[in-house]
Amino acid sequence: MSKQKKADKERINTGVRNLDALLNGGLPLRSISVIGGHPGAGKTTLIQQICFHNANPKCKVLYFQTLSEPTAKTLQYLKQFSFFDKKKLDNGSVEFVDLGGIMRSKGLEQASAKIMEHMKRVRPTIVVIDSFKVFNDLSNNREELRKFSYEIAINLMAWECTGFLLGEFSAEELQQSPLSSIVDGIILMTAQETSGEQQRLIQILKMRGTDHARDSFPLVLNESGVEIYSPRVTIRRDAKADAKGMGARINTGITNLDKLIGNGIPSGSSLIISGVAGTGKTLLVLEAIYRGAKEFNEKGLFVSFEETEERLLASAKGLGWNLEREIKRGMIEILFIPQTDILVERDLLLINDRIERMNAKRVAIDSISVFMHKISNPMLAREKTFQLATLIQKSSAVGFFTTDIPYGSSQISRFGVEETVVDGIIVLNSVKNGHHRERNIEVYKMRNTAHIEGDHDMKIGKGGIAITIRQDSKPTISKKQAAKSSS
Amino acid sequence: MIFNDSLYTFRYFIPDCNPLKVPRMPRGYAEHSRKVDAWIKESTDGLNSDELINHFETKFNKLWELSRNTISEVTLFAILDRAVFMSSDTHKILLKIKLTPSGIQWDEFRKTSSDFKRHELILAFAKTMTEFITIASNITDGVLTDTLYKTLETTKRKKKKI
Repeated sequence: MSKQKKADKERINTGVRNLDALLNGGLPLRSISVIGGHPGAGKTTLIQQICFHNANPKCKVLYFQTLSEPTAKTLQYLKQFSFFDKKKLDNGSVEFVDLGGIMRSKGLEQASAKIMEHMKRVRPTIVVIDSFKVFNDLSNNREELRKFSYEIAINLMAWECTGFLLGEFSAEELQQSPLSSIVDGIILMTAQETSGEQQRLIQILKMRGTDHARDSFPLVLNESGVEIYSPRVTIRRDAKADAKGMGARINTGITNLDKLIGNGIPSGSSLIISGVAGTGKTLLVLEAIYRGAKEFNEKGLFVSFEETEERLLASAKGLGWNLEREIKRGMIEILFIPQTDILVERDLLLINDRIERMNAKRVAIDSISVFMHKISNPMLAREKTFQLATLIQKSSAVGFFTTDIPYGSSQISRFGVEETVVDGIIVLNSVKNGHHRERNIEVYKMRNTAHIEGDHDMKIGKGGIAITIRQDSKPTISKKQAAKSSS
Repeated sequence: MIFNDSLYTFRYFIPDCNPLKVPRMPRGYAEHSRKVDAWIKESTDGLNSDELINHFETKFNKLWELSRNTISEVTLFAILDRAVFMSSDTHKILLKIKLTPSGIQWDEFRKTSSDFKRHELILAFAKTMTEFITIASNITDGVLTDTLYKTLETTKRKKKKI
């Protein structure tokens, strides 16, 4: 019986980014799933990607096409994806069968016989019927369709195939379709407006034998095929990272800022750098990244949504920093994503990949207010900030997230919720003194760190940011207390 | 020699004419094969071809009957269809078998089976039965396995009593 239990967990690796995570470990082997959704939702691409990823002479794929799309057309489009492998067609690992002709002339019963004939000939591991919706149109009544669907499902089961039945089914149609009760899985692919943009979405409505994710997740179609973005599922806090980085702290390298922060910023922490426009947020985080690379040999990633790399280089040059050299020697990378191109879920994973690839120990996000400008729901803003902080935590890095606040606002962040998920807050301010504006800096919150509170003068000039600490300032808690709470 | 376990397992891999068809050993096949071989060894001693067909008919009917309580006839038909089809790869006498929604048409088979040799029948039906048990067991995730095995054991016990 133990062997049977083990077999229970057999899964197919889909080869679709993040889909296995949504399925809690991959698609159950020998399951039969309906893939529903509007035309253009990405159903065919998704399934073809799964097919080509798994196909080999021992795992054959039989792909039935009905009246929806002629095979020649399918192949024409398939060629543009990187998962397409012509060899798999040549050696029979993937075989397309056009059922169109027989269905037009002879109807359901003959189609069923033809499917079985091909299954016996090929003995496939994966079977696809694209589109199954055509059978709805060819059946005379609901009962006939149910009988046909049941027969197909039974045969796929008896032949121990993993089956995919594709169709232009809406969520409502799937609820009423006899197929829904017969199959093991239902995956719905839709398109809808999310954060002001038309977005393709995927949702697993049902998948027997697995504790799958139930939300809708955005996806894109690119040259790799389908990529699903599911930071809610895939970006998880890592307890091991906490243990690994326990006690490690970083210094920013910015004159006197480290004295304000005390014994450094604990690794894995994220800080919000808050302030109205023109208070020096971008420069502060850029300097922290630059000094980290130059003085502490720590790699840094600067994610910018407003300033291009050229403009950042020019700003750095103006302050006397050789940022270009640090970029050339691979210590700093600048990732510029224009505001108009921001897709929060996708970009979270992009940032995650970049941090992991370069092993960044300092990450600047400039700014989270622009990054989340399409989000109107504070709950969602909090979640996305948390996910950003999680990327930092699991990499044992330190994150510097700038955020704009309106003039005269009493809030520290745009939504007023972002600060609740980060470990530290630095507030930059400027006050008018006569004809001048004077900048100041305040370490507003720094978890587990004895920091010096209050406003301190901050100047930006040749060499970078210079902070003058007020003489009467004292640490919030003693270093001893901080060490105790940290441990 | 016929009932050699390793030989029986090996038979699964006899290549057919298409080099791209690489047969794969289904889950649990070897174990089910050993059970069926043991049963055949115990129960078919001294039976001639006609008696063998009767013997297999009784057994398949029993398997069908017991499985029907758990899975539908439509499913059983699909399983048997696959089992016979897979077995006919290496045992061409099985191509003579006709299936109906309620199982194998034994009378039709009998009419064409006069020329079959005893060991051909044994090998062919042992293979079909193993395939049947393997598929039925796999698609029910092992729920049916014990029931199917019991069918084989019952006959053994009866035989001993005799």
